[in-house]
Amino acid sequence: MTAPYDATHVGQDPIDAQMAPPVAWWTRAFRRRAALGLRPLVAPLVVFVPLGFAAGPRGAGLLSETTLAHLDPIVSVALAGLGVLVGVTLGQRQPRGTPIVAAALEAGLTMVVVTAAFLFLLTRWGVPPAQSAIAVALLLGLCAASSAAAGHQTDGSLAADVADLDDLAPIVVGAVALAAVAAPGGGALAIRLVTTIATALLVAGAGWLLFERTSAAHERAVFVLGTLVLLGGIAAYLDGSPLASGLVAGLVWARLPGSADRVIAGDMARFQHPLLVLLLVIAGATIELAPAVIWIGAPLILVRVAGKLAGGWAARRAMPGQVGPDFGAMLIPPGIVGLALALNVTQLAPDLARWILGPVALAGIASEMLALYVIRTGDGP
Amino acid sequence: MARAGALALLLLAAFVAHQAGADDAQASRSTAFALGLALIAAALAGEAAARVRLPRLSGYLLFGLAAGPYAANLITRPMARELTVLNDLAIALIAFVAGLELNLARLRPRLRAILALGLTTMALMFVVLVGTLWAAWPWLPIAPEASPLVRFAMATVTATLIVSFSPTVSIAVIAESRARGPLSELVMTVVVLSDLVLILLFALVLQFVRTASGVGADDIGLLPHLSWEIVGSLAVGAIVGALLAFYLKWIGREVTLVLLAVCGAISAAAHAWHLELVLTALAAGLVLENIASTRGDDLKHAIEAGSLPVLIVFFAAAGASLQLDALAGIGGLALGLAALRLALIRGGAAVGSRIARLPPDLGGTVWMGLVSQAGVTLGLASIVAAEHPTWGTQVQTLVIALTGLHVLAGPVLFRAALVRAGEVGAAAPEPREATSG
Repeated sequence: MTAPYDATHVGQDPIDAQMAPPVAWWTRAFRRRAALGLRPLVAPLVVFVPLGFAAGPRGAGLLSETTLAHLDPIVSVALAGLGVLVGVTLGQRQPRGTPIVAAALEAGLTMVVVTAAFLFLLTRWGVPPAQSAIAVALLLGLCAASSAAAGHQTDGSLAADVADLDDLAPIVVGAVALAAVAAPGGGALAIRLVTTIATALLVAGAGWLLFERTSAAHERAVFVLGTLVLLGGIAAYLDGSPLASGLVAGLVWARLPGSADRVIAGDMARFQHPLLVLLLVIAGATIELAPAVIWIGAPLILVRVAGKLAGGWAARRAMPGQVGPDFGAMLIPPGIVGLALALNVTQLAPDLARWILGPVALAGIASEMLALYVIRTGDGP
Repeated sequence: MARAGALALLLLAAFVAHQAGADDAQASRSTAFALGLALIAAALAGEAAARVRLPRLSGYLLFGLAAGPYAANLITRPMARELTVLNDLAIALIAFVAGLELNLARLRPRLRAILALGLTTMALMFVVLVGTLWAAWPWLPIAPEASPLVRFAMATVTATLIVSFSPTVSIAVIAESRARGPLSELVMTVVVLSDLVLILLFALVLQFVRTASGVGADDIGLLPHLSWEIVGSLAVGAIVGALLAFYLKWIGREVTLVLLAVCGAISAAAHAWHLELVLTALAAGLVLENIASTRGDDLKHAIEAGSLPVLIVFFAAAGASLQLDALAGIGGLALGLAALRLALIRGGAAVGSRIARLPPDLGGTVWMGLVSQAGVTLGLASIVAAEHPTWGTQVQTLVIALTGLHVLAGPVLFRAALVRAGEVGAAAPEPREATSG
């Protein structure tokens, strides 16, 4: 049975908590906001995406198109690493029953609200062409569905469980949607999905056999790094989703006997921050400054907030008395998974990228800023 | 057993992916796939090699060869090409580590002996090889109808390429064997200084070939270019080393990450400014070691943590890129020349050791550290092929075949010498961590 609601149940999503920027010394100043009962000012998304844009081909040109093309494999690896983090965290927490239903409701409702709204808007505007409009609306819905959840209590809270689990649906449905976009045709789609999952399982099995049985730190780091690179690499080679590959592997490591999940979490700590910062910077540098960023991004902010509030309301009804009335607002910060999914769209369906990546980044930054004023954390000195 | 199972699972995953992957997949899409496979599988192959007392890097090379386009084709030709993206980074890192090992105060008393050994060996090899090649040229499958002067010019350039050693491979063997002692230091210093001499010699010989063959003879920019390549490389490297020393002293955070970034920047600068990559990185390491040696030691430990994956991929890529068809086509000649080179290295090192008055045990094994050849030789051969396509491509094919033999045999011989000298594992041991569960 779950505990009744109290303030500590509103927790920061532990997955996103692991993704704090590595430069702790300069974020320390912003933590004073938390002491005043306000959310910390700086989310990694708010800092590194604009930084990437400024350094990218549309900015100072420090990251040229050629450089970005060379960095493409690193994006796949970072996406797989993110998937592993999500998988390991979910596998370790083993949420059952109510939170799963609540998260499915919350993420599903957000997805439906955003997809329906954009299907309507894009069809009315007549751009992009009809078939692409369906894909764009669906992908925007998926990117909008994940959330980081705000607050300070990270472990064991129901809200944190829900915020963790709402990353799952976009990754899983996103894998199918992206495979469909990249390989139209039922047979090819099924083969691609099955192969991506099967290879992820094989690599996860190999990793499980290696991690615990290697005592030399440098050698084990090579196996961990190699496994992540291979997960991302095979998924990219198959035009599949590295996020889904990583998720599968993370879940396998968490559920198999032994401590493979703890080994990978510990060793990943060495390079997860640089990888994730790089992911955000590359996302920023890849954004095309097109009118679509504004005319899709602006409605996306509003529709996503509406979706999250509606999802939060539905989730509260699934967990009566266990989360507060402001639960929906707590889910407004988007975290990193949505943007990662948008970056994956850029890799697999570059034609659709300009309708997705820029608007999702804009909506993500705006949602983080909005959350500053909507949410009080309750952090005390 | 668990490792064999892991390797089997990985190879199965790679096979399944290959079967399902699009044939027209962009080459860049396969980069991470090839990197991941090479990292884990080559590391396992290296471990297997260590069990049978071979250098780990022979295991990396053999894995690349077995999985590469000429055998199992798990690493296809485009993937093998993509794997080489880390080459320059690896070479810069290896040369940087070599620089960190060169403490001038420690070397000064032995510098005369080192120079005597290196120069005698190279000179003897060069003279005998030029004479042999010139005499045998009419029977070689490389422009046999050339005039005596052109033949002599071609023989000199071919001999220069065959004489060259590989600082990269020698230093990598020392690093992965965690070797420390007189033999390691002697071999490393000799191959590094020989690399300098070789670059100089190659430039002069190439100018001679141009004059003799009349191709590009009016190109008088060679010496300024050469001066820039050597002096500029040393200067840029020294500046980088000084900046790194400053960073280590005043900031000193994320050292491994910063070092990899610096090596990446050095390789980019070497390309952009036409510098010699090995020299630049070596100078950076040397300056750091000699102006901030304590910090250099800290850095050395950080490097050991970060360099293993780079080395594994570098040598697996080298194995996958070995052109077995070249070896098959020109194998007899290559084997003959390899045998001659081996004999000359042994003889030259024996004479050099006597002149340098090295202790007999050291003088008797030092030749085994000079057999390897790799990237620098191939790079110089490609310059010859580009400048003289009529006969240079055949010289390049011969050099590729020779390098293939030497890159496989060299590390095995050198490690055997290090074992005999009792230097393997004399450096600080690798940290081990207990795993829970």
